[in-house]
Amino acid sequence: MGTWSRREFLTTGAAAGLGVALGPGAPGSRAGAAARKIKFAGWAYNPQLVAENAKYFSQKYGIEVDYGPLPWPGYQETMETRFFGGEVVDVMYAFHPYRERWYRNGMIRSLEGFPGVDEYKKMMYPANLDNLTASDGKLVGLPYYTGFYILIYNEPMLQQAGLKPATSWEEVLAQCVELKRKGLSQFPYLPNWNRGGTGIAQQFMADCFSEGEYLWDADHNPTFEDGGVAAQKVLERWRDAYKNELVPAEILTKTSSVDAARLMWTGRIAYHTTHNYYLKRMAEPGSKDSLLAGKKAKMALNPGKTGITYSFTEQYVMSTKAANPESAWKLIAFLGGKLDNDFYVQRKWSMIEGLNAPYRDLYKDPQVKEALTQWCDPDIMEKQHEKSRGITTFKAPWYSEYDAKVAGLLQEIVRGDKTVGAGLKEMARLAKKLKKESA
Amino acid sequence: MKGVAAVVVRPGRVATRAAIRGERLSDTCFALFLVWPALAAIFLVVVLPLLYSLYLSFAEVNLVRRTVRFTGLKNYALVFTDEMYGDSLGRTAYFVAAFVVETTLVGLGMALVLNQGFPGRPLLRSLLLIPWSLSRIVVGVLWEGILSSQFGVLNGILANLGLIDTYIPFYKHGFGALNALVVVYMWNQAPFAALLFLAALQAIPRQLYLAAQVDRANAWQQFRHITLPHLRPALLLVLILATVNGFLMIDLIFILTYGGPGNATTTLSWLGFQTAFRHFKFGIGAAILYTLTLICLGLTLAYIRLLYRSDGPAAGAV
Repeated sequence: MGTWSRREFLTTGAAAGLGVALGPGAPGSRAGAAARKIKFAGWAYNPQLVAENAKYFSQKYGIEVDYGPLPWPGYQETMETRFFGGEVVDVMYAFHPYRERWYRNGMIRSLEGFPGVDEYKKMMYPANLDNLTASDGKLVGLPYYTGFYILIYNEPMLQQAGLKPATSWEEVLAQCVELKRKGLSQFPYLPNWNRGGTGIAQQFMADCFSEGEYLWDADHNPTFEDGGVAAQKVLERWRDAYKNELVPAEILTKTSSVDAARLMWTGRIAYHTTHNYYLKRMAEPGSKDSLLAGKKAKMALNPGKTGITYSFTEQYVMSTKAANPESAWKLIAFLGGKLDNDFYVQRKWSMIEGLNAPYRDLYKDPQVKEALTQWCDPDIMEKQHEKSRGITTFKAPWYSEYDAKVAGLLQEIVRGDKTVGAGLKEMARLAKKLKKESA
Repeated sequence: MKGVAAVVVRPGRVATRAAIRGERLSDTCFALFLVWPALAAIFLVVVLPLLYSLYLSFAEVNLVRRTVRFTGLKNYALVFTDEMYGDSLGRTAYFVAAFVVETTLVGLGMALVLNQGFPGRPLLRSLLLIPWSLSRIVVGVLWEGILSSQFGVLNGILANLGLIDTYIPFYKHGFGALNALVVVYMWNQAPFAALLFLAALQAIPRQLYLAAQVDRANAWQQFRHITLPHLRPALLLVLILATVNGFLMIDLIFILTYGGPGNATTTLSWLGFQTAFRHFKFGIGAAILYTLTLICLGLTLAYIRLLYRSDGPAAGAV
């Protein structure tokens, strides 16, 4: 190998630098590339499937998609920082509590006016459509998937005790007391009280909705300050369950819903309330993770006065800086809609991961129905979906902070660190304070 | 030699003071020329972010709108009047104190054992480093599997030995959860403390112990009057590192408790992280974390004063 003189080294380095500067990354060539290429990012959930979908889209429509998955922890922060740094990500996932913040701050744009938007609105469940609509009434996202809280029971355990699935929350607790007394389960009840972003705060809404308590008025003021319609009742029930050691205390330090669901996989728990899509991995035949595989874990309709549950919709949104909005819209319609009359991606998520689509038509799709039958009763799933609703308060700019902070407060109430009355007042005070600060 | 104006600087060459000064100046310039890239890198990646984050602690930041508005001491006023800050400070103080004591004692104990000659010592010294070399995310996941009240190994062993009838929920009580975090973090960090102590132990001259034995000093007296004074520099380093690490620890909280149950394991670092990166209040988050920095700095100075108030074998060694 020969040696380089200093001059040779410097001239070669300069030439290489110039080459890079004038190459494909040079500013002059970027505008042309941007028109052909869509930058797409999302949190990493089955990124292989997303990459396959993106590849299929590129081949079919001739628009290149540069897909980059990001870790879920810190997803929001990363996307904001990238936006702040001037990077253009044309299409991205949005986590619903942060979506409004992105929209109000000009990071993402409305989808109104793109072809087919009005048809999509008609096809969706009203609760999901509301989730995807910003506070100004404009549609800002198409669905990645919708999730709603359901009641899951351990059928073999109930059968062993000679019990039928409970039809009221009181009956759930009474059965759990019996199961514990008989020694069939040390902790028979597992509400999703985890501390993460999709845990106890959402579970509280699901249980309240089932009793007819909707927590917020139209101006995003809390209605539960003095106990509300059923907020006090729900929290007192939770406290009793915890005090009587029906619930594993470990749930309070779990960091995510999947961690919570893993406790159910052990087969030692009788009732679990969580997002609907966790039922798939728990109950599908051949699931290696769960002792309740083969539909031993089943879904019951939500008990309570109304039986309504809490639902949310995660979504695909478009950057305000998207270089080619038409191409970006095409990708969004492909991922979250029915491009060329085919729910290609929505169907795949339903079948492969159990992520429900917010479109009524998909429940009638024979392929989806057959897949759902593997791990649940599709009719019950559809009925519960019909009986689900979200909240509009998540569109208030302060809500994401409230949502994060209230988890600790709710856990303190459950553990008895605070009385139910004082805890509810503190929750209401927190909401009012944040609302005032953001005004 | 006082007053002599000529000094030999190189064999066979005599230089005046002025010449020496000139040469020194030239050396200094040359040295600066060599180190400026490193200094610039340090300025860019350490000093500048520190100054910027300090500025952020006096400002209101909207990341998406790219606005940074100076608000003076408002963030600090908000922090100090927040009940959560006071509670977290108390928890942090307990966590750091327990962690520093446990890490120091366990690290010292391990070092003393490994300083003795016994078969398998080299292997044991290598194994000692494994907990420290693991990523803390791995440590968290590992201990989650050990301490779980549903499928934890520890509960399984205790139940199989007939020592417990029902599994123990280690995180049920907030104080228990905080202590569980202390133990897990100590398990991760004590080996490094042991390594530092071991290096210091091996530097102690053997003759001192032989002389002490001639004077009929017992084991405790040897430890108290020979070992401990010689360990002072290592002890200072361990105390400073453990204190700073204790204050800054968030990764195990992230994996094991997420600040719960309730807010029972919410320390200042976790509160600052959550405020900045979950609530997107970067100014207030920075203010919380700067108070933590000041506490760390104060404690470090206190350690130095405490350990070096009198001259000893190791005074000034750090």
